[in-house]
Amino acid sequence: MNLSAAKDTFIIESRELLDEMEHSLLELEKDPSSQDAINAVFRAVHTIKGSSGMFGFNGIVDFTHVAENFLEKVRKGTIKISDDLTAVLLECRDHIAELVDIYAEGDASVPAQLVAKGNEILKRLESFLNEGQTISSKHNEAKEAKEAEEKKDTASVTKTSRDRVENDCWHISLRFGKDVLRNGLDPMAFIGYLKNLGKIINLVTVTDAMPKIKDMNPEECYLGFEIDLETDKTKEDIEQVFEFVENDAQIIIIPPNSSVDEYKMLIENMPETPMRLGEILQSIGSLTEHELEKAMMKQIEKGGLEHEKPLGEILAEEKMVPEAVIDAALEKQKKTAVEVKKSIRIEADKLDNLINQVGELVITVSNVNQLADKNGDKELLEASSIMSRLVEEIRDSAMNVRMVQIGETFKKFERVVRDLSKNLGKKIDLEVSGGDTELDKTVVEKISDPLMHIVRNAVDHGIGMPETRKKAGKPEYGTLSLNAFHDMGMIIIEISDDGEGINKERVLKKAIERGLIAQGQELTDKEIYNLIFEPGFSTAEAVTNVSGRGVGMDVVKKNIEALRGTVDIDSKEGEGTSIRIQLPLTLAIIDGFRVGVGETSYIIPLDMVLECIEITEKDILTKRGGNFVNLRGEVLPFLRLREFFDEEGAKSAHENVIVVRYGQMKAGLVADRLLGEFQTVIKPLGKLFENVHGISGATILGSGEVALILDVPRLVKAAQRIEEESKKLHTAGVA
Amino acid sequence: MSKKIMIIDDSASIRQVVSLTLKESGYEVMDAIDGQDALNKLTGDKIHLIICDVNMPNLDGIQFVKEVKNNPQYANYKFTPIIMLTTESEEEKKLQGQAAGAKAWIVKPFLPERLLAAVQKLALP
Amino acid sequence: MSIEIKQAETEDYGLLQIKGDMSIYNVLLIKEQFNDAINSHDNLVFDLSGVNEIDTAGFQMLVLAKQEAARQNKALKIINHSGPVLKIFDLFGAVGFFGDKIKLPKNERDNYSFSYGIKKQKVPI
Repeated sequence: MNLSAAKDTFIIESRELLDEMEHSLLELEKDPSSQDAINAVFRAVHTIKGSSGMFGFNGIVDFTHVAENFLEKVRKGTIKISDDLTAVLLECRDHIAELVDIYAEGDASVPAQLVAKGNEILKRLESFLNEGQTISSKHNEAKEAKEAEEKKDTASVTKTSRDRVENDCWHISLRFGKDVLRNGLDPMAFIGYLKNLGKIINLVTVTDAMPKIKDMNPEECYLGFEIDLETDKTKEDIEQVFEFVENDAQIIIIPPNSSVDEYKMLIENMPETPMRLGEILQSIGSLTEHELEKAMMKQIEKGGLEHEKPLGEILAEEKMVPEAVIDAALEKQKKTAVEVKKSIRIEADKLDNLINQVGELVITVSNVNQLADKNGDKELLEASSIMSRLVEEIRDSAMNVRMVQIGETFKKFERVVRDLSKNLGKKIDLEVSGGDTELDKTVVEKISDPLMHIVRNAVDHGIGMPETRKKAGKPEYGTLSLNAFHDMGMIIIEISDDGEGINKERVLKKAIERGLIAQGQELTDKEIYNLIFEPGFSTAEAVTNVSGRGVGMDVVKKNIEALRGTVDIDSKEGEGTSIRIQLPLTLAIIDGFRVGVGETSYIIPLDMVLECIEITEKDILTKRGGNFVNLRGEVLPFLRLREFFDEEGAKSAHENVIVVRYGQMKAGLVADRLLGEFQTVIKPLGKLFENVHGISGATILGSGEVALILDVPRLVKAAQRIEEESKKLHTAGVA
Repeated sequence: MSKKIMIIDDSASIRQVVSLTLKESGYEVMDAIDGQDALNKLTGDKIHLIICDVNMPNLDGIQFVKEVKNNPQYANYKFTPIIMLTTESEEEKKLQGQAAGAKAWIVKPFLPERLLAAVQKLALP
Repeated sequence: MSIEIKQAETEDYGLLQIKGDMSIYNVLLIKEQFNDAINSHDNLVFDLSGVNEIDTAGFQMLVLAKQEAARQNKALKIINHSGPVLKIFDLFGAVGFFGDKIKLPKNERDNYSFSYGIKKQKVPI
């Protein structure tokens, strides 16, 4: 059987459970009495143990088994939660994560070193036990008991050698209790299963216990079976077949070539008269006539021929299941059944495929629209516009499927902040809000690293030591807050702290040292703060092992921009810093604005378009190599796409300027024709075009024509750079 | 006609392995993520066997068994055999489950073969 | 999972055509119908061609009918055994007990062993 798909599920599921466990442990640190958190921790370990066993991941089973037993005691309240304990439990969690990683990579065995580490952790766990408690596994005890019983069994089989019967089959006598059918324990299945052990040589259904029709309760069982089974399995194996009816049936198993005594016992114990049962046994060949006579003789000797035991009595002799005490709390819980989020797991590839196909559909529909428009067929136009709407809804639903909550990512930071602040001797509270904000899975995956970096930075540089904070009149505990929300079709993630804020002087000094700006250059506060995102900038004076390694915020910025997002920083010295990340909800489809330049179509992401204006030669101001246009008194730099992309073809008389915005910057892009809004499925560019400046992707139009998607941030910067250079030249000229 | 089995477990990997194992042996399988989900899926089609985890959020295994066995709404399932999935630490739960009417059980962790054996003892393929 | 039992009468015998699920979920109804039929006919024929599922509880009803008929000195014959009926008769070695002729196409013979049970079993009264 191919379990590899299930294995993947196991790995994913385990990691999710471990995240949850971590989260709950951190919660326990804050609120040691939270029963929900304790239960969640228990459930995580419990479930991982349960599933890992199915794959034979014994390394995980061994470790989680002990941990689970320990947690059971915590859950019952016999061990109290303390900070020290949660710390060890976190280590347990990390250890399980490591084990899961090992299996994820396909290793079937755990390195001895890791096993030793696990044992060491478990040993520390044991130190939390109260006197007299153990977490030694019941598992072993049960095993030993079973082994002992097995030994006994074989001993009883090999006793007396005299009076052996000829029958070399196992004989099985079954009398089912009246409740088996109601309990779903169907004799048909058990007997059918016997065939897995060997060959049924003979079998007879004993119907003697069946009452008259008026007394018969059809939901009760009145049947018995006498079976001869040929098998090389052990008595225990045969007993195992009937494990679930142990308490609900009378079962006698007689090994091959047993002594007549065994059959005598059988005849004595079964509810039928000895004569009747003897007849049956002889007729199916379990006993020869002679053997039967012998058994019956012994019966008579004992004067037990009339001795009959009703089935009920025999059952009563056997151990009955004690009536379990019903937990009142459980009863109560049942009444408040909460809604659960039901979910199915889908491979990311399948989703991508769906999105792709929906994308194609969007394109085709816009093609149909265009054709309908061109032919002027009113009815068709109407139908196609309805179709457009539906397809748009499908697109939204499909996109929605890819949406995941950012909360999972936020959760990861709890541990990071905890470990880091402990490490640095800081006291920090993490406040998370908007965890249920949804965004595209790919975006979430890709934003995780940059976010991590920002969070580490805030802990390392942003929030000061408790003493420093006290001196500054702030509470000992610093607050780091993560917030996510939707705004204008974008998602905003804010990371803010109430720390020391950014020291402008220090930033400026460093920037000048690094040659990022010129001495004496006038910068606004914002510009100064944003220097932090420049390549090669690092403010930490002492490089700590936490964040300051030179690879810094510039990488963060680059990653965010790669997601078509922006990042912005604001700070007040002494009060704190706030970093704001703006991201598109999805990467796959954008609403675009289509423009024509020469023979080519270009797409500008619609959310970056501010307005369109038409200009003539006289609106254009040319200053020292740059192009500017007078936009209601504002000087706006612009780029001619025709020039930028070396586009040929007929120039139009009028030039259209599309005013775009990127962050706080504005620029104009000049095109020949405005072609209107257009929904676009982004296709990644091939290797060949990867380095084409100013293009971020491509799309296929309804007509089959390819349109290029403009990389607005780069274009805006290019336009701005021309402006800056001209400014510099201008200033230099004046000086 | 293949027999239909329902697996109820909050662990996706357990549902998946159980499903694969049973399907390969000719059973039809449906699944549910907890007791409540399972109850919602008991809508009239015959189910020959239910495999049910004890420890689940929302509606746990014991409560589920009690519902199936006692609530007239699920009369069409009250005789359906139920295998409980328990761990050793849940001996008490196992007894509760048996008292409620789930007479078979498997101790977690288990190998797929162990599961298949238990299933075959209760429902011939 | 439902059952339908049609009673028809000819000059010589009462015919019961049983269709559907002869399982524990339907045994109360089956018993009622069987009891009626036995009380009102001296010769009974059960046509089981429509039985698509049968468990031990259902099998037991056939045993009950056979024994009760014998008890009242009436004759019961089973005809047109469906596949599931043959399967349980085979497993329980019950062909001899009922003593009816079984029609089985050659190509299906391998599916059954019919190798055990008592050839002519006395119906216990």
